[in-house]
Amino acid sequence: MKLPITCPSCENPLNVSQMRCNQCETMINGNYELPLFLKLNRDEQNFILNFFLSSGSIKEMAKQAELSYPTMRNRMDDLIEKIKKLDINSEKKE
Amino acid sequence: MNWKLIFNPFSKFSEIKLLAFGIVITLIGSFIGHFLNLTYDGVFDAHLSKEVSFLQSLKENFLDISSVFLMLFIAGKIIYKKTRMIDILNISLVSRFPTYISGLFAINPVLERVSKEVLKNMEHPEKIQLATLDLVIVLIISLLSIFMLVYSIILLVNGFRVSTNTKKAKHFVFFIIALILAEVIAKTLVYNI
Repeated sequence: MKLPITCPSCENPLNVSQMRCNQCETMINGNYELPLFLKLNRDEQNFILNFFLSSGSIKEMAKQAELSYPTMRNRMDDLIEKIKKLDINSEKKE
Repeated sequence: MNWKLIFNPFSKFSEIKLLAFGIVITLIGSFIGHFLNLTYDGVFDAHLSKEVSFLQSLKENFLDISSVFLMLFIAGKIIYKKTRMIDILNISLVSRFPTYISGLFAINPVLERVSKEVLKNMEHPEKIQLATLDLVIVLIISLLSIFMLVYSIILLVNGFRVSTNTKKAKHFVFFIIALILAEVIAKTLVYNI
């Protein structure tokens, strides 16, 4: 099942309010912020995972995706910018 | 047909493939210049001239490509530090493809006939007599030439956008200035070297 990360009503980021132990059914209620990685959409998460699996080689990723190196590097730069913004926003909240 | 690839090959193909394609079309373009006596006296220009050798045509292409490369590379580095030489070189080479194609239009005998008729009656334009078919052919060639010019500019814009990760409109001001400067430098160099 896909984890929703933005509110379908106002499009703001969602927080975690409940967690449950599948073994003993213990439930914890609270207001937890999602980890930074989970605030990214599915494609962005896959991108980071692929980057890791390609041993950090954008060139290798570009080859696998049959795209040019600058196209892949631009995606990486755009994602870095997004993560920086998300990081700043979560620091402000704290 | 994949239009995205035709108008933006830089997003898909590797730098080696683009470089090989760029070198091949530069050589073919220089042969076209030699056989059809075309002078490439500007970034987007291909005009009929007298006796153009293969080496002269190659030299003109080299000067045009170098001017575009130098100016776009400087603009690219100002906008985006990670801009690579190879990507800008590929844009400079590949974006000339439509210019070489439009050079082929020069072999049309109708164009020669029409231009002779116009030149003959320059001072009395009312005496110019052109067949309707000739006019239609000239119109089609003109439209194709304009399309090739637009295609070349589209290739430059898309290539520059991919190479420099440009999204802001203000960055394209640098691009336009670089292109105008490249045109001035290319024209100056072609006529003086």
